[in-house]
Amino acid sequence: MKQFLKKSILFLVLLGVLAEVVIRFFHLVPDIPERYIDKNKIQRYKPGQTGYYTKAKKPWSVNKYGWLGVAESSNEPTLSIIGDSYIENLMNPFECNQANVLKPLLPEYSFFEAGRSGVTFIEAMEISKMLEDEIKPEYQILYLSTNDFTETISEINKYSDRVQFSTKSNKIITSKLKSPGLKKILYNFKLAYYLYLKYPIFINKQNKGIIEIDDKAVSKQRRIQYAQLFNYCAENYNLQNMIFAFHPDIDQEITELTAKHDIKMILLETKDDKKWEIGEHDKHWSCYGHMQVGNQIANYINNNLN
Amino acid sequence: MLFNSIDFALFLPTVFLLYWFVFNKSLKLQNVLLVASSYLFYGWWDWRFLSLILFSSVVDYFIGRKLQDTEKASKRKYLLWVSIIVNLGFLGFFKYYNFFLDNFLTAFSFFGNDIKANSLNIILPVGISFYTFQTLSYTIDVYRRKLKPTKDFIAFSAFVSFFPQLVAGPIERATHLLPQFYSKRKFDSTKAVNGLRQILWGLFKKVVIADNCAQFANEIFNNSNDYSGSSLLLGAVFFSFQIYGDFSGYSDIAIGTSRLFGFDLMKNFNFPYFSRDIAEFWRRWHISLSTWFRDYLYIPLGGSRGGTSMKIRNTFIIFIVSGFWHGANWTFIIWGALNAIYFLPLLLTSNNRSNLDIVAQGGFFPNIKETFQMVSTFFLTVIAWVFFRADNVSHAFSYISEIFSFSIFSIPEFDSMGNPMVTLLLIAVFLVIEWLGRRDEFAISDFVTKWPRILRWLFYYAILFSIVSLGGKEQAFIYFQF
Repeated sequence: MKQFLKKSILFLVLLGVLAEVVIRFFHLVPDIPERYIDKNKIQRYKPGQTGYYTKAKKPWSVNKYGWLGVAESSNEPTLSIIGDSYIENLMNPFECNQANVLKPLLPEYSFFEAGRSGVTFIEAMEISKMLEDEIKPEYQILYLSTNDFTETISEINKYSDRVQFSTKSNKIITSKLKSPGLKKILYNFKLAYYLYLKYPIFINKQNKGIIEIDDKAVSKQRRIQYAQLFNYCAENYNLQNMIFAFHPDIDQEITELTAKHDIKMILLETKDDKKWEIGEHDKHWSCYGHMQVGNQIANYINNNLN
Repeated sequence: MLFNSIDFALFLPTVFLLYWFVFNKSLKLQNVLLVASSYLFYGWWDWRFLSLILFSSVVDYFIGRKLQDTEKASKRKYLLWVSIIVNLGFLGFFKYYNFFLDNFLTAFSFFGNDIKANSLNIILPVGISFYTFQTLSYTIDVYRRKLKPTKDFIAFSAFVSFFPQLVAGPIERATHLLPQFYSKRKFDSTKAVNGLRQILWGLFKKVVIADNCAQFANEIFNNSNDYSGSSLLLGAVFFSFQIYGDFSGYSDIAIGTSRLFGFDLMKNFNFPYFSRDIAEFWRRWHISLSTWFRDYLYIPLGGSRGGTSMKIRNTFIIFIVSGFWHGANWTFIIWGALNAIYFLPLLLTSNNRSNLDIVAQGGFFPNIKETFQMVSTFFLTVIAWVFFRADNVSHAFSYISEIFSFSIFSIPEFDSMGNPMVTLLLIAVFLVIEWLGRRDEFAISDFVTKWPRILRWLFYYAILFSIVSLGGKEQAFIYFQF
C-alpha cells in the first residue's frame, strides 16, 4: 500500500509539474496583473507588471499610472477613456484598444485610458475625479451599460470588492481586495488557475450580477435609486466635460436621467451583428466591435464638440 | 453523483483512504463503510429514492432466508413470486406506468371508447432497472439452490447498493459478487493500478469520445429535417460512438473503481464494434444484461433445445424484452425486434456461434472478408441505433428513409455545429488504441504495461490532458435513464 501511495504521489507531482510547464508555455490561462488600492480608494494594478492574455500574440504591460491601456502625455487636449473590462481590453490585441482606434479618427487629441474589469458606474465617476487632478482632460468618456448602474447600488446587490453607492446612507462604499492571498496563489500556480477556470465549482457566484427587472414595484424602486445616484453625482463630480457612451442594452430610465442632468451621451448601436462579439460565450467586443464603437464616438465628437 | 464530476473526484479518494486506513480493522466495518458511501453516492442525486433500495434489500434478504428454511415447493415458488412482483412492481410503476396507460387509452379510443385517465408525473429513479435485476438474480439463484442465502444483512445491502455499479451496471450476479463481500480483502497494488488505468480509459471514452460525439449527434437528431442523408448517416455514426463511449466508459470506471476496493466485476463490453456478425456483437455488447436474459429468461423458455422455431421465438422474446428494459417507448421495442431480425439469417443457417474469437486473432490486420464483415455489422447496428436515439417511431422511419435517399451522395453539412474533423480524428485515434488492445481485458490493460515507465506515464499524461482539454460539453450518462 505504501509503495502504491508513493508511486501515486510521484505520478501526481510529475503530472503537476508537466501540466504547469505546458500551461505556461502555451499560455493556456491568462496572466492576471496584481492589484492594490491607492490613496483615493481606487483599485489599480501594480505598475511594471507584464504578462500574456490567452491566445494573445503580444504581452500586456501595466503603465506607470497603474492601468493597462494607452497613457499619452502631450500638449494636445486629452480625452480620457474610462470603463470596465471592455476598455481594459485584455482579450484583444493592444491595437484594438479604444484609444488606438480613436487616435487616427481624432488626431487633434491625445488619449488616456483607465479601464479595469469590475469597474462600476460610481467607481468610473471616482476615477474621473482623480483624472481631473492627474491629467486634466478636455473630455472624459465613460463607457457604461445597465449592469454598471445596478452593480453600483449596494441595496440591489452587495459586492465587497467593488466601489458601490448606498442609497440609504447616500455615501460611497469603498472596495476591498477580494482574497488577495488566494488570488496570488491562483495567478502564480497556473495549473490551479487552469483547473479553477475549467471546473468552476463556485459558478453560482458568477451569476450574481444578473438582475431581472420585470416587476413594477422593483422598477419603481430602481427609478428612485437611479435618481438619487444621479443627484449625488451632480453634487460631487464635474459633469460638464463628461460623455456617457451607453451600450445598446441601456435602461431608458438611465438615459432620461442623463438628459435631465445635461450630460452628453452617445447611444451605441450594435445592429445585432455577431461580429461585434468575441464569441458565443464572450460578449466582449472583438476588434471589429471596437472599430465600430470608435467610429460612433469619433462621429459624435466631430459633429458635436469640435 | 456522476463519475465525471468534481464531487466524485473528491468522494473516491476519501472513501478509498477511509476504507484501507481507517476501516481496515474488520471486514464488517469495511462493508458498513461501503453501504454508507453507496447510499451517500446515490442520495447525492435524490435521497428520497434510497428508501426503494433499502426496501428492496430488506424484502429480498428476508425472502432469501425464508427460501432456505422452506422445503415445500409450492411455498418456495410463492416466495419467489413475491420477490419478483415486489421488484418488478417498483420497476413497472416507476418506469412503465405511463406507457401502459397511454397505450391502453389509445387502444380503447381506436375501438371508439374514450376513457379519461390522468398520467402521473413520475420521476424515474436512477439505475432502478440495474439494481432490480441484480437483486432478482439473488432470489432466483437462491430459489434454484445455486446460492446459499446470506445471513449478513450488511454484506447483502452492500451487494445491492455497491456504488461503482449501482446506477448503470455491470449487472452483477449474486453468485459472483456477493461472496466477495464475505472474504477479507487485501490490498493488491497491481490490481489497484490496473483499476486506475481502467478508470482513466473509461473517462477518456466518456469525456473525450462520447461527449464530443454527443454535440453532433444531438444537433443532427434534434433537427433531422434540416439535414441531408449523408449528414444523417454521419449523425447516426456519431451517436453509435457516443453510446459506446458513454456506456462502456461508465462500465470501465465502475470496474476500475471496484478494483481499488479489492472487488472484481464482470466484463461488460468486449470491443463490440470489431464484431463480424450480429451474434458476435451481442456477445460483446452489454454482456451483463445479455447473459442475465440468457440465464433467467432464454434458458427457462427452452433456449435452443426445441429446434429452430423455438430458437427464433425465444430470440425474439429476448430482444423485445431487452428493448423494453431500456425504456418505455416503442422505439426501444422496435430496436430490439430489429436486432432479432438481424439474428434470423444466422439462426436459420446455424451460424450464430461461428465467430467466437476476437477478429484477426493471429495477425495484426483483418483480412478483406473480416473487414467487410466488420463494416457491414457496424452499419447494421448504426441503423438500429437510429431507433434507439429517435424521439418516436415516425422520427426514426423518416430519419432512415432520408439516409436511403439520393441525398446520401451529397457532402455532409455541419455549418451550425462547427468542424467535426477534430471529433472524427479523436474517433480514429480511439479505434486504433482499441484495435491494439482488442485481445486484452480493456484497450490499455496490457500493451501499455510492456512499455518503459517513462513512456507509459507520458501516455497516461497525454490521456489526462486530452480529458481535461479536449473533452466535450458535459453530458449525463445515457444509461442513467434506464
